[in-house]
Parts: sequence; structure tokens; C-alpha cells
Amino acid sequence: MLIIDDDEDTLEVVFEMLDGAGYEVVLAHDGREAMELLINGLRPAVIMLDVMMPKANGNTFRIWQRARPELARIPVLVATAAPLSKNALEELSPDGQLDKPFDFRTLKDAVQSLIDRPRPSPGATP
Amino acid sequence: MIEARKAVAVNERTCRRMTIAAVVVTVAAFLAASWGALSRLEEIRYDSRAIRTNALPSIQSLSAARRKLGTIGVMIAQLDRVPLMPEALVELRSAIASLEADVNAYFALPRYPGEREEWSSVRACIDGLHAALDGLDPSSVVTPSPEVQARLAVAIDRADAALLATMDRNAAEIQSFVQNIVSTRASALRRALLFNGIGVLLAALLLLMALRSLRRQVAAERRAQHLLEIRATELEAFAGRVAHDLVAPLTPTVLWLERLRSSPDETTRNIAVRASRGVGRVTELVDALFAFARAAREAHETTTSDLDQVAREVVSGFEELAATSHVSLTLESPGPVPLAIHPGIVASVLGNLVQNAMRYLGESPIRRVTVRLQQRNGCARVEVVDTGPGVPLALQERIFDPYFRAAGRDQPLGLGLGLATARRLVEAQGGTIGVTSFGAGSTFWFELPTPAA
Repeated sequence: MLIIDDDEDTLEVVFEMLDGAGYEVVLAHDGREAMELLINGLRPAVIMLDVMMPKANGNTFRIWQRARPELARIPVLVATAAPLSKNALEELSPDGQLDKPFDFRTLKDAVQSLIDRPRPSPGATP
Repeated sequence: MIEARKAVAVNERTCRRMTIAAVVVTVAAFLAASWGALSRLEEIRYDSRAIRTNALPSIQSLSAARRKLGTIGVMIAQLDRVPLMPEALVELRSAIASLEADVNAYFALPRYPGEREEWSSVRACIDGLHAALDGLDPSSVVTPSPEVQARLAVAIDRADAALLATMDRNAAEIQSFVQNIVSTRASALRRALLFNGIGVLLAALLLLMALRSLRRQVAAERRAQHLLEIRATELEAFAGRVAHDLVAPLTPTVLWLERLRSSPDETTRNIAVRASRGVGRVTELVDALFAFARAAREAHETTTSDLDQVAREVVSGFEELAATSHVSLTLESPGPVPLAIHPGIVASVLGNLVQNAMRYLGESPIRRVTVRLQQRNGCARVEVVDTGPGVPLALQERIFDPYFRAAGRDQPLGLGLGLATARRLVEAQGGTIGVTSFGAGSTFWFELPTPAA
């Protein structure tokens, strides 16, 4: 799975815990870095996305991702510190949402439920 | 923002003043026109009365006197041919007496300046006639001497001339009164038109100014509303930024503490548990801060909601907490209660009150929180009744102030923004909020206006 967050400490602890739980985890410090990873062929089962970030924030990343059919179907879990307004939620249209700060069980359950979720067929609209 | 509000208030005052001034000016102009017309009418009434009661009766009496003088003149003119019989003398005297009566009727009327001389002249002529006739013997047929005849003729000519002059004077007076009436009427008409014209023009001008002021007020209100919305959006964005910067670093803290909580060392575990509690409080405080900031924005969103449905959702959201805190949480509702308010606002207020009630139940042996909905005349009332320790009277006023928290070691930690947020939301919707508490237990309530049916 791909974790996108600008907070180094968050990346470190999430990596250690998910890695320890048997997940294969790749880290990106902002939207642009994540885009580069995906362009280079990375195909994670789930993306965990922070919203407020320098260099391509959560919204920019989502717009970019949805515009690419080969990436649009990857489920995205949005992790945010401030509650999202209705408009912001509509713009992001995430597959799952996680309020910061979260404990490991909540994170693991959210990630696993997205992995276990049946994928939409390739012809379906993402 | 304050300037925009001041502008709205100033425009409101100006508009009200202009309208009042327009009304005052119109009424004043109407009164002035009416007063002018009335005073002129009084002048006309005086003139016409003078004509009716003095000048016209004078001319009538003088005219009758002249006719009689003419008859007397004919009788005297015959004296040089026909001797004067005693009966004819009586007739002549009686004719003169009748003439004198007409002249006296004229004398009884008010005099005009200069009339006194004409009166004296008429009087002298009549006295002359009497004197000439007094010398004649009334018991025999007489032929007056040419001298007497001449005196009589002169007296009659003079009397006629005096009567004519007096009639002319009275006719001239009538003419002057009539001219006065005509000019007074014209001047009254001019004044009435002038005052009414001025009144109408001033009123129109003031109304125009009031209209412009009203337009300015509408624009100022729009500006104020716009500023308010911008400010609310900015506040929300700022709070979001603050929340992000405060909460984001907590994520690794929470996760690392979680790791420490499963440490084999008990002391480490205990420290981790306490530290986690601290982090939990910080999260709660930031959430409250964010909700308080967002309350300003939500207050400007309008839509409809059903109080009953919102209350059911809120109560169901607290069911898990109620179960773990051993609280009996119930809802008493009369059924659907429509509101013209965003459901998020109602949920936020009610959620705050329920959370507050559960948090401050303390160690009360009876642990019950009841949410009661009522619909009254034009408003919906929500009561959150708890069996907690109650709110002392002295604190009831201040409990809704921002950052106010009940003192005491046993009180749970909070930022003191929950009830302030609730009040901010309720008052922005034209509602009221309060608490009633006598000893044990308290009832937090709020009332919101319901839309007209």
C-alpha cells in the first residue's frame, strides 16, 4: 500500500506498524512524489492520503488520479486532522475516511476493509 | 465588519429621519396653505358683510329718499300756478316726514369716513324745507310768495345733490369692497398653490433622499452579510489549519504510545496509558475549538430539517457511550417537528447538550439523561434533563460563556466551548438557550422558531 503524508513522524510510525503487521508499504512525502511512484509503475492495493500537504495536496492528487483510468480504481483512504466540509468531501470523494489522530486498530481495519472490498469491474466508472 | 454594521445602522437612521421629515414637511405645508386660505376667507367674509349690512341698505334708503324728494319737488313746482290748499299742505308735510324717515334710516347705519359732511348737508336741506313751510298758514288757501318758492326749490336742489353724492360714496365703497374681494381671492389662491407646491416638492425631494438612503442601506446590509460570510469562511479555514497543525503530530504520538501500552514493563505501560489520556484530551479540545469556529459558518446556512429525526440520530450516536458509562439515555418526542434550520446546526446543539449532560453526571447513583421534544406556539423546545449534581444558581448565567468551566477537582477536563458553541448556534437562528436547575439534576433547554404553517 502507498502512504502519502507530509509528516515524517507519521510516515515512520505508520510504516513500522503496517510493515510489522505484514503489509508491504511504500511512502511518499507529498502528492507529487506519489504521482512519480505511480507513473513509474507502482500499483498499490490501497492509498492512504493526507489532505493538507505542500507540492500537490490531497485534492490535486485525487484529480490527477481519477483522470487516469489505470489508477482511478485504486481505493483511497483519506486521513485528515480537520473535519472535512461537505464540499471538500465531494471533491475528494474518498473510498474511506480516517480522522487523525487514529489508533492502529482503526487504521488497520480501515485499510483491510478497502483491500477486502470487491473491486469495481474495469468498465465501471471509478 | 464593525464599520459595515455601523454603516447599516447609520443608513437605517437616515432613512427613518428622511421619511419622518417628508411627512412633517407635507403636513406643515398643507397646514400653512389651509391657514392662509382661511385667513383670506375671513377678509372676504368681512368685506361681503360690509356690503350686505351697510353699503347696500344705505343706497336703498338714499334711493327711496330721492324718489320722495322728486315727488316733493313736483308738488312745489306747481305752487306758482295752483294755490296751496290746506289738504295739499298736509300732504306736502307728510311727504317731507316720509323723506325724513328714509334719511334717518340711512343715518342709523355706520358711517364711512367723510360721510359726516354729506349727512349734515342732507339734514340742513330738510331743515330748510321745514322752515319754509312753517311760515305758511295751514288753515287757509295760500299762494307762497316767489321768495318762499325760491327757498323751497333751492332746498330741494341741494338735498338732491347731497343724496346723490352720498349714494355715489356708498357705490364707490361697494366697488372698493368688490375689488378687495377679487384680489383677496386671487392672493389666497396663489398662496395655497405656493404652499402646496412647496410641500409637494419638498416631500418628493425627501422621499427621493429616503429612497436613496434605503438603497444604500440595502447595499450596506449586503456588504455586511458578505463580510460576515467571508469572515466565517476565513475563521473556518483558520481553525482547519490550526486543527491540522495541532492534530497531525498527535498521530505518531498516539501510535507510539499504543506500542508502549503493550510493553512487557508495567511502569512503561502505566506511563503510556496516562500519556494516551492526555493526548485524548488535547484531541477533544481541538475538536471543540474547531466546532466553535465552524458554528459561525453553519449559522448562515439555511435549509429545513425535522427535529424528531435529528434528535433520533443524535441519541443513537450517543447510545454506545451511554452503555459504557451506564447511563439510561431516552428520547421523548411528539413526532415530526419541522424546522427551517440546517439539520447539522440542530444536531450540533443537541449533541453538545447531551454530551455535556453525560459528562457531568459524575458519581450520581441514578444515571439518567432524557431528551424531550415539545412543539409550542411558533417554536420548538428541546430539553435535556439529567440526574447529575445540578448547576448552582450563581453559575447558571455564566455557564454558556466561552472558556467557562465549572471549577472543582472532580470536574472532567474540557475547553469550555461546548455550551458557548451551542448558544452561538441557537442565537444565530433567533432562538434562546438556557438551563434550569434546583439542587440535584438540571434541565438544559433551547427553543428554536418553527416555520409558519
